[in-house]
Amino acid sequence: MPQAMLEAVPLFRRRLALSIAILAGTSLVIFVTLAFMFTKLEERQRGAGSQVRESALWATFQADREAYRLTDAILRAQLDRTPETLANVVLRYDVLYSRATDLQKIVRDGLTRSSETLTARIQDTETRILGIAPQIDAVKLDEPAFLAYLPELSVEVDAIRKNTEFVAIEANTLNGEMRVAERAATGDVSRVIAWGVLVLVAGLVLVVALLIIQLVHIARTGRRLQALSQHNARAAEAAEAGNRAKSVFLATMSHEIRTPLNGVIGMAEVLATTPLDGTQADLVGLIHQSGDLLLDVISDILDFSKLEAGMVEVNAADLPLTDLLDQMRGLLSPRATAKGLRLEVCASPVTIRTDPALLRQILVNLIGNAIKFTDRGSVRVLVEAAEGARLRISVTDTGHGIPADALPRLFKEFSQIDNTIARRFDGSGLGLAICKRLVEALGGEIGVFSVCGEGTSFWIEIPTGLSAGAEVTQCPAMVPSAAVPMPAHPQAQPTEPCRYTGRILVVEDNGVNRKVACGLLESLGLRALIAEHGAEACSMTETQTFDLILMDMQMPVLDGLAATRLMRARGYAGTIVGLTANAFVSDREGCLAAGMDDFITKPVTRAKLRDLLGRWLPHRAADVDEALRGALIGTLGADVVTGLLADFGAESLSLIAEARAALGSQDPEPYARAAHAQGGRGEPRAHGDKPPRPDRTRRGPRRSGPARSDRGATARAGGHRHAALRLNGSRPPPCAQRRTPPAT
Amino acid sequence: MRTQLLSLAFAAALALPALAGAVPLAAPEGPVVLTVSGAIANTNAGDEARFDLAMLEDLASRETITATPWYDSRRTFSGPLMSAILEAVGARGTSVRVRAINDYAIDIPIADAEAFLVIFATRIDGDILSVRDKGPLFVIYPFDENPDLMNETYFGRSVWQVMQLDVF
Repeated sequence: MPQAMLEAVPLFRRRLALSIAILAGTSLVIFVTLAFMFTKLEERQRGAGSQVRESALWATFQADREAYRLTDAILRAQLDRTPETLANVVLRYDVLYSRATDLQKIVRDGLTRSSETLTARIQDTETRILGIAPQIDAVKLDEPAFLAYLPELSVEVDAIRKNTEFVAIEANTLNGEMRVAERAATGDVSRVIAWGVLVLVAGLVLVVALLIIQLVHIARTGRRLQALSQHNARAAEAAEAGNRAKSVFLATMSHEIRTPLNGVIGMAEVLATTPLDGTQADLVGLIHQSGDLLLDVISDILDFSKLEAGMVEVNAADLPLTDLLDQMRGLLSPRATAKGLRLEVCASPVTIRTDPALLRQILVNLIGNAIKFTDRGSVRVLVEAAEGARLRISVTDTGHGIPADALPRLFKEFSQIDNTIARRFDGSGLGLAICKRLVEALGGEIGVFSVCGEGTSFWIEIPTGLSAGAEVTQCPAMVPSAAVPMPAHPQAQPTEPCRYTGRILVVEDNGVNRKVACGLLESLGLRALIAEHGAEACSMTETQTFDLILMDMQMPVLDGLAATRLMRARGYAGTIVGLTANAFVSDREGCLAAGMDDFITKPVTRAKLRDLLGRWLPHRAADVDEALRGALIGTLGADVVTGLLADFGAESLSLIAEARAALGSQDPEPYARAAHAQGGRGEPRAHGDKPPRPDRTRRGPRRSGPARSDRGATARAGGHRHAALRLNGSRPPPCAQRRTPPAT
Repeated sequence: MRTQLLSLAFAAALALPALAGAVPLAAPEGPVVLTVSGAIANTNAGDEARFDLAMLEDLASRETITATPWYDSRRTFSGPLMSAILEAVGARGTSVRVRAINDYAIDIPIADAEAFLVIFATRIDGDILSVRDKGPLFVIYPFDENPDLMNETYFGRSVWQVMQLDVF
C-alpha cells in the first residue's frame, strides 16, 4: 500500500494540475459567454424600438382618423350650417393639428429614415395641416366667412386625408418590414444565446465531472491514508510494545537476579561471621565484594529499565535541602575520606518542593561518580539559585577531567568514556544516563563542564517548586561544611554494640532471604524464629512475644501490612519493623500507617540490622568481643569456649557476691582478690598466665552468660560487664572493622 | 416639497365639506372644459359637475417637472390635482373613466390619485394648453419622481385633450 501510494503521487500531481487548468479554462469560457450574453440582451433592451414604432404607427392611424373626422365635421357643417357644427369643425381641426406635431416627432425620432417617400409625405402632411391654421383662425369667429371657406377647407382636408392614408399604410408596411428585420436579429441573438447556454451547460457538466473525479480521488486517497495510518499505528504499537516488553523483561530479570544475589551477599556476610582461616576469609570477602558490585550494576539496570518503561513516578514533597545534603555527607564522606579527598558542601538552608528520593539518587550518583573518578583534591557540592525559580546544584571535582569529544556521549546509556577507564572503575555505565532521565523526570536539566586534567563539574537545574518570591539565597562563600573535615580515621568512630540477646521473628516467604536474615540475626547473637507468611506470624504472636518482628511486605496468604494491622488490632504491642523493596516515601508511610514502628530496605545486611537493633534494642546489647570470641572458638573449639563461659558465669556470680560481702565488711583484701579473679577470668588470653582447664568444659548456657541478664538488671549488669571484660583497660576493636575475623 | 404639503393641506381642507355632505358647486362662467358625471355628490348642472378653466385653476394644484414620451425635453406641467377634482365633486367610486376629445377613453383607478400626485395639467411651461397643444387637460403622472411609472400602463393613462370624467 505505501509503495503504491508513493508511485501514485506524481500521477496525482499531474492530474491535479490538469484538472486545475481545465477548471480554470472552463470558468473563463463560462465567464466570457455570460458577459457576451448579457451584452447582447442589453443591446436588445436598448434597441427595443418596437414600442416606439408601435406608438408611431398608432399616431399615424390617429392622424388619419382625425383627418376623416374633420372631413365628416365639415360635411355636417355644410349641411346644418349651425354654430355648433362650425365649432366642431374648429375642434376637429385643433385635434388634427395636435396630431400633426406627433407625426413630426416620428420623423424627428428617425423612424422613417428607411423611407424617403414616407418622410416627405409626413412633412407635406404637417405643412398642409399647419398651413390652414391661419385661415381657420381668421374665419372661425365669422360665421358667414367660415361657411364660405368650408368648400376650400374640404378640398384641402381631402388632400391631407390622402396623405395621412398613405402615411398610415406606408408606416404599417415599414413597421412590418422592420418587424421582420427585428425578428431576424432577435433570432440571431437567440441563437448566440443558445450557443452560450450550450457552452455554459457543457462547462458545468465538465466542472461537475471533474468534481466527481476529484471526490472519488479524494475518497480513495483518504482510504489509502487511513489504511496507511492504521498500518503505521500498528507498527508503532508493535515497536512500543516491543520496547515495553524489553523494559519489563529487564526489570523482571534484574529483580529475579537481585533476589538470589541478595542471598549470595547475605550468606557471604553470614559466612564471614563464622570462624574462618585467612584464605577463606579473603575468599568470602571477595564473594561479598563481587556480589556488591554485581548488585550495583543490576540496580542500575533495574533503575534504567524502570525509567525506560515509564514506571517512575514523581512524588513531590517539601524537602529541607540541608537535610538531604547532610544525608549525602553521611553516606559519601567515608568514601571520600577513604580516598583522601575533601568533600565540601555549600548550601544555604532552604526548603524546596521536589521528589526527595529521586533527587537523592541523582546526587548520590553524581557525588559518588565524582569521588570515584577523583584521585586527589576535593569534591565540592554547590547549591545556588538559578533563573526562573530553579535550583542549580553543581558537583565539582579535581579529577582527571573528561575529553571534550567524549562529553556528548556522556549521558548516553552504557558509555563509559573509554575502556581503560572502564577497566579501572567498575560500573554499568548507566549512572549518568539514569541521572539525566531522573533530572528530566523532575523537570530539570543536567549538564557538564570539564577541563582535561583539572576537573569536571556536573550541574543540574531543577525547578524549586516554590513561588517566585521565595528565593534561594546566594551562598556567601565556599565554606567547608560542618561534617568536613571528616575524622582522619574512621576506626575512631564510636561503635554500636555488636551482640544482642533476644527473640526476633522473621516473617518472610522467600527461603533464601529468610535464611540470610536468620543467619545475620544469629550472628548478632539473637535467636531468630521464622514465619513464612503473615497469617503464620499472627498466630505465633497469639502465644509468644518477640523482642522484634521483621516483616516482609509481599507475601502469600497475608501480606506484611495486613498482618501488622491484624496484630495491632489484636493488641500486639511489640516492635514491628517492615522490610520493603523500595525506599519511597509512600512505602514508608504505608508501613507506619499499618502500625509498624520502623522499616528497612532490602536487601537485609548486617550493617542495616545493626543500625536497626541499635535503635530498637539498645537494652539488649551485649558487649561481647566478637573477634576475641571467634579467636577463642578457633583455638579451643566451640564446646570448650561455651563451657568456659558457663563456668565463668557461675564463678562470676559467686565472686560478685564475695566482693559485695567484702565491701560490706570493709575489708579491702578479699575485694581486691575477687576483683582480680574476675578480671583474670575475663581476659585469659591477654594475661596468658592461666591456661584453660579442659576438665571444666562440661556444659554451659547456650548463649553467652554474662550478657544474659534480664531487662531489669541491665544497668547493673552493664557495670559488672565492664568490670568483668574491660578491667585491664584494653578495648575491643570496633565491629565495623571486622568483616573477617582476625587470623590466629 | 413645501408647495406639495400646502397643496395637500388645501386639498384636505376642501375635502372636509365634501365629506360632510352635498356642497353646491358654483356654476362655470367661462367655456366648460371638463364635465364630471357618475357617482359624485356635488353637481352644478343636473347630475353633472361642470368646470371652466378658472374653477379648475382654483383647486389645489401642483407643478410637475418631468420628461415624457411626447416631448423631446423635460417640461413643466401645472394644474389641479386629480384628487382635488375628485374631492370637489364628492366622488364616491373606485375608478374614473377619462374620455378625450377624440373619443379615446381609459379607466384610471382613484387609488392612483392617492398614490401618485397625478395632475390634470392645464398649463405647460406656464402657457395654457390649447387643444392644438394636447389641451385643455392633460393627465400627467410624476414620471421623473417615480421611475416605476415609466411604462405603457401609465403612458396609456396619460390621456390628453381630456374633456370628460365618469366616476364609477
